[in-house]
Amino acid sequence: MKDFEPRIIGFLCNWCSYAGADLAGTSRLKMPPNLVPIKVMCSSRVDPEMVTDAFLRGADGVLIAGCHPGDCHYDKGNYYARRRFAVLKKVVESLGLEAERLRLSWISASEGARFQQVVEEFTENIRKMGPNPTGKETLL
Amino acid sequence: MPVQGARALSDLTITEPLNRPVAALLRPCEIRAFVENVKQTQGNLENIFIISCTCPGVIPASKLLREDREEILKNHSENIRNSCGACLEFVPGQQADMTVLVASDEPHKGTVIYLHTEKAVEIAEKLDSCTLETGKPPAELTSGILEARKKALKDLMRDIPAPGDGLQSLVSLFSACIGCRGCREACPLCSCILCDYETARTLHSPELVRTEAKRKGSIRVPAGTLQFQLGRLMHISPICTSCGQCSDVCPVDIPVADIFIRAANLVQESLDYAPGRDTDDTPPMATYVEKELPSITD
Amino acid sequence: MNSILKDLLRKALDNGIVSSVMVPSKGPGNSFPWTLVSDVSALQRAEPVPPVMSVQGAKALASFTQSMPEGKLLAVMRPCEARAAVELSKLEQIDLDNIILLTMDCPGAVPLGEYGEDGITEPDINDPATLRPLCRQCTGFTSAGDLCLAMHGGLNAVLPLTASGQELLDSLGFKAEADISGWEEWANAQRGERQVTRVENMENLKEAYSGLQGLIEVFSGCISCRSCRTVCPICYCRLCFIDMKDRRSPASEHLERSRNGGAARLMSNTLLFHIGRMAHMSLSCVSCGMCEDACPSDIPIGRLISMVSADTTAVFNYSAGSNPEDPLPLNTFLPEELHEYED
Repeated sequence: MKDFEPRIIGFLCNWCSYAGADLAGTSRLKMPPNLVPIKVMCSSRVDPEMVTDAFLRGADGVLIAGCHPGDCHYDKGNYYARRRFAVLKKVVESLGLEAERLRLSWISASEGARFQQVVEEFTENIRKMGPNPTGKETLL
Repeated sequence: MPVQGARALSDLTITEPLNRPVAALLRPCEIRAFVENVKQTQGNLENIFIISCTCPGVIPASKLLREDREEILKNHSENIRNSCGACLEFVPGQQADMTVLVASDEPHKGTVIYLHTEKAVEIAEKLDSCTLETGKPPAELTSGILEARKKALKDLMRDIPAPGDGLQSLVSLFSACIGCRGCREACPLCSCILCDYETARTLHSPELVRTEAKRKGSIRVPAGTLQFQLGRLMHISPICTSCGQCSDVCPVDIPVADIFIRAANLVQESLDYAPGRDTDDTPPMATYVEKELPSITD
Repeated sequence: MNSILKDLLRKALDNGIVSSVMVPSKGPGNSFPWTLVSDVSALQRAEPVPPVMSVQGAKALASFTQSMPEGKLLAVMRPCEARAAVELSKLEQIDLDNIILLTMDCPGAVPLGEYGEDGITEPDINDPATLRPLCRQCTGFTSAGDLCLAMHGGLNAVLPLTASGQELLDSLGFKAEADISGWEEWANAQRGERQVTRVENMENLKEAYSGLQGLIEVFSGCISCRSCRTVCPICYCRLCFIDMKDRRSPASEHLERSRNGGAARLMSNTLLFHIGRMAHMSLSCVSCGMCEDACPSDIPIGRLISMVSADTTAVFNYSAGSNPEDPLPLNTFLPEELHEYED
């Protein structure tokens, strides 16, 4: 498993988490390059469909990151995002799939260090889990 | 259950409320599904008088097409659907106007009817050959059935594939799927006119299918079998009333309902939602609580 | 797998003459999903003539061939599936330009519901109980598409049926068969026998279910799951006419019908759906029987549509899927025709 480099899809909300990622970058914080960021306007823009699509097509991990509860740019988008994520997580769990490959984190625009820490930790966890078996499965 | 009652009632009332009273004979899961329909503007409860029963469960339609049909009908309780065997809500809730005692621990004599509303009392005045009671059927009449069903549900939940081997077992389960979408069409809660999974947004493009076939060496076509099931689970599990109709229609005997019931139990518990309980309960995905679900976020 | 076919598929992929092969493969359990194969090693699981029809091949093909960007595709399918693919290309759902269709002497398929149970694991031409009802009366069981694997009458060879089929054989160095008369004899005899069964069955069916009462009876078990439509290769519309909002009847109309008749069926558009569907697709019906296989209520829907299709296609002297050059009957007309339908 030494050669395994996880590929993680990150849906980052425009107002907080993407800015947090930016801050981590401009602060020259070192972090693994495994996360492929996709900017969305709000964490609630992430249809669970997008997550399952990534998951079933072999993404080793999927991160959704948005503003802390109460701080949503659109007032309450992240509360809805949390419910949708709960459904997703429980469905995946009930099917015996690896729910640990999905993560929802609140990261504000000022939390560059937290962004670094989440990416580091998530990448390490996924690295330990190994590649997502959906990546090689031909009969999905 | 050839057609889920909620689907039929929705067909009747989707365009306008009924302008005169209609009595509807519905099983408890059909009432719950219709309540969810009403919340999604797929039906209207006005002028509907609901007669329900303590439900003994239904026999899978495929069993009734077999030659030993008579034998199966005789042994009703041993031949009910998996979903019925694990159903804890076989006594109607507050939406029913009257409940006929059908399933009970001990055999009962004659027809016993429980009246829940004033209207029910009014109508029942003219019934002289039945035993009439007011209020809900006492819990002790069906406590034995409930215990047996609780155990069955526990067993059903325990069969959840262990993490790690989940994908393999799912793939083999759905490998026989013929893509007939009967599960979706029969579901009383899948009421979209055009399913998300028939739209260009979710259909795999020709380019993607070919790229994936090249990358993996081979790929199943039509693509997206699990994607569809996962997607439907996501849409339906928060409000699934565990009626079991999806398993019933499956021409290749995939235990779709078992999968849905497992997911629904976990999802509904985490969202603290009981589908079909009350038309006033806000649909779970249209609301939130400020402090909730701490275990899934960080 | 037939060794000649195996050899052909391997060579075609290996030499890059085709970039991919679509063929059913053995899946886990007793399943035979369609696969799009790009790598020769994945051909090991290929099962070109599986005992059941899981998804109609043309439907599988149409799921990724509305446009054909590059490279040739070789699709191995049953004759009825190839005919449906031709119909779908006329309906602009499949771009056949870069597709080569390879069919075989089809042994028929085991009904999905019977497969595995009672020991039925293989279709047996001599034992009708192992075959779907429409397979038993199928007269188009061979010679469809561009190439056909002939396995009867002393033959075991891939025969070219079109120029592009011939081209593929030439490029792979497959030699032409000198004598195919034994195989032709076999096919003619089979066809003759089945034609008799077919006519007989259709007459019986017509007698049993014609007229309004007959139709109401045969569709009384319909649970409106629409599986017949969904699995049908020809029914390609994303949104079916029957599901449109304007088809909904207001509650008052339902009540009115109930008052007039004493009772009225809910989900009341059952007959409208089935008759409407027949009107839409019967001209292109290839009698593959997929609809009947998928029906959870065991309605002989495939045989009924096939029966209707025999009558509707006869009006235009049309044979669904046989000739790619024949235009769809409703997309063309002659100034002088069909006078018996007008006055």
